[in-house]
Amino acid sequence: MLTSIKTNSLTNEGQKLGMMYFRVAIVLFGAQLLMGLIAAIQFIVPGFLFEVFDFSVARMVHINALVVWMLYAMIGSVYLMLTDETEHNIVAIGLGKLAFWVLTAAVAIVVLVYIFIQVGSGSESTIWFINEGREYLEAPRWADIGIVVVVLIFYWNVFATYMKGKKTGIMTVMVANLMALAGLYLAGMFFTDNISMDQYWWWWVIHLWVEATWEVFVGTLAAYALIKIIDAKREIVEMWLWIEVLMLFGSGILGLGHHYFWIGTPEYWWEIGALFSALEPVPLIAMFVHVLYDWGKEQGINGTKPAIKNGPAMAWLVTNAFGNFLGAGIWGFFHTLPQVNIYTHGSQFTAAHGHLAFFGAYATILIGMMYYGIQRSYGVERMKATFKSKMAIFLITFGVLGMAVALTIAGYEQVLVERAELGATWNAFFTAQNLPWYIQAQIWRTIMGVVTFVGFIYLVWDLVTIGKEAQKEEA
Amino acid sequence: MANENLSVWTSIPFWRRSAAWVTGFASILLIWLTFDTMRQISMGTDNDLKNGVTKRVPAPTVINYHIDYKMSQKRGHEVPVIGKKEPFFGKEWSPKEAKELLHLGKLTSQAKNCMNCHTLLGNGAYYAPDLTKAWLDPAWQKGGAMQAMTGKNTTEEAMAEFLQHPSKYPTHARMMPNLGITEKEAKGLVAFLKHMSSIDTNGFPRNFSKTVDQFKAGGTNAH
Amino acid sequence: MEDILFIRPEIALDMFLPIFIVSTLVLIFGVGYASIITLSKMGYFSKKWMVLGYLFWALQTYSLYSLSIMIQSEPFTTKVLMITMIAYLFIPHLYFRLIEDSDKRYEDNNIKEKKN
Repeated sequence: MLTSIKTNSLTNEGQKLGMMYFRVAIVLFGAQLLMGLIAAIQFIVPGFLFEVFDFSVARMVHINALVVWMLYAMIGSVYLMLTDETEHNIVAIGLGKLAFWVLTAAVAIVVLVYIFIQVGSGSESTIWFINEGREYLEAPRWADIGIVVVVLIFYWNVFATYMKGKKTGIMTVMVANLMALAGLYLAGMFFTDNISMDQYWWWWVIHLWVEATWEVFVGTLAAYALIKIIDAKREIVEMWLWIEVLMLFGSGILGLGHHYFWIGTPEYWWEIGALFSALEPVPLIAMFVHVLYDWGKEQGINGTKPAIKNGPAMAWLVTNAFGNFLGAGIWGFFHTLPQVNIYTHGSQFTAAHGHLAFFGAYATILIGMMYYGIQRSYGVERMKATFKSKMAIFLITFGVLGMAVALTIAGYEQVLVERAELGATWNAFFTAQNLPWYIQAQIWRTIMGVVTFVGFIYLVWDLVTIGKEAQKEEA
Repeated sequence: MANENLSVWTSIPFWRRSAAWVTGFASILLIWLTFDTMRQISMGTDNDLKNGVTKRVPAPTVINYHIDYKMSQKRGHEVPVIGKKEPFFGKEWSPKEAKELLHLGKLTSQAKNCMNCHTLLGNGAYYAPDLTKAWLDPAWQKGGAMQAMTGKNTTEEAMAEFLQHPSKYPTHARMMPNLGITEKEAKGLVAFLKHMSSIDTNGFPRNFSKTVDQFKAGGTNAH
Repeated sequence: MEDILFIRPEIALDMFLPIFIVSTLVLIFGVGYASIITLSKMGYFSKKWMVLGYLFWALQTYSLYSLSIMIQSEPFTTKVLMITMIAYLFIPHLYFRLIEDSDKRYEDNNIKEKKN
């Protein structure tokens, strides 16, 4: 089915490779949603697949599929823009393709092991071959090393092409940021008996990815997309990109402190974490204002012609600007101050924030890039949103927002009963989990998850057909 | 355009340089703080425990001591208090044995994927109770529901029994699955949990000691 | 052993709802302020709506102040937060100043239909 996302009009090999990454990404996105649904059902019906496919397994595949599909879509986006920006062909395209197949095979093996073997004995060999058991970084050590090799090949392609080609501001940020992004992965590749030390470095990977380097990556993609989709002026976009880099890294790097409140680390992280993470929404407001302004300007506020070349991509880009601010900014700020965080840390609040932030900040723009890739693949001048595109964006956004609200309500109840009143013991936990408010919130979360999944079906359907339809219209 | 009086605020090189400086400065500060934190959270030694030196993360031999969680007026929140020696699985563990046991426990906690249902130090999944201070949980103490259910006489034995046959001891509709944990691995896990409860988490989870106090006074927290 | 009960700064049970409501208000008013200012500067709304924007800013400042009292921040922190709010009053204007200046600088040579 997915092969019908044809790459017939693409002559550039890098862009073809980018589309290959997108295809795997969308499959993994589907897997992520299915696993999420299983886990959500287990909250309501605890006996569902008990000791067959337990919550821990469903949840592990859920979050790993999330991270991996996003990385795939990110790599795909870079391959898509690389030749455009550098005006140079990718230096080692054959090696790049080989890396793609190696990575995809490795991901398939890892997932099969997760699903069928699930857990191992308490020994080094489990860490090496089954799973590493550290949330988000469960990939076993052999796969870790494989990922590093594959990413090195990818990075070499980006770096060498950049060095030989034109050096735009967008690509400069991309090359520097990707190096940090890839290098940080190494911080999560060791074992220690000291759980505080373990989590200290674990957060280096998780936080410095999702609250620093990934955000800069999104800024870079948005800059490229604004130029391509609405003909925004390069100088203006690049100036804003540097301002965003300044603000994102300026707040995000030390914002890491908000994960160090309660893991055994010293108290000075309270002040550092609170101050810098409270600043984290500021660049998101800047991105929001900037995208909104550019959109309005190019849209032609005063009744001039619409200048948007790719309707669905632009719609997802605007959703990104808004979702990033809402999910990462607002839901993050909600519980970032230590006075509040001591009650909310490790509750459904975090889950609410996680769902909305990953979606708003990353899923949206990556889906937008997929639409852009399809436009290029079919060589169409202008691609308008279809009914299916609109259903997809509406249902997915509505579903994720609904899940976040439901989880916030569950989190609020949990904070009140489990944390504040009863003191976070075993009994307190289960008392809170069994209260009607909490259960209802979990039911609503599951319903909203189904809505999201229906939106996903529309999305895939649209991605498969929109190119052909646009081509027909243009002919 | 070139000979106009151009503002520095719209200059791309200006913002590029500023971004580089700010990023560099933040990174250096982070690295410097990391060195200090590493020093503070590296594990203590057995001698520290013997001499009563407080470490944020004590040595593995902390499993030979009684651990309590008490309000510190100076700190304004609860801190772990390491008390008198007490046997752990009926014996005193040498530094080498304790280290090996903790190693096995930490390894097992990862191999069995604990973190994708439970939270450890508040991080993980939210399907099962937080394990940060599980060792101190009233349910596992003498007279507590969990200890009584397993029919064991000590916290460590009750926990180890539960971990090996979790679905034999259902407390709620939501149960822990059987993960094939062996007796040795279970002991390791209990050591890991006891060690974790001795880590100074700046008062997380809040109010935990309140329930311990209530429990000791014969009160109930939840029903 | 008889434990002594200490009195400590702690969030009372019935304070959680107000805290979450007030922190939501901080953010809603904040978004309201930023978007009203943005949209009226872009010409979607007339300039008189900006008054409402500033009103939102004032409400946001008040909410943040109440929040800092409710979570028992130290007086120093409260002061810092208030200074931040004054900075926030200027941030959207700074962004627009930048957008306009950069438009002038980089886009004047190919005059677009943006200025009517």
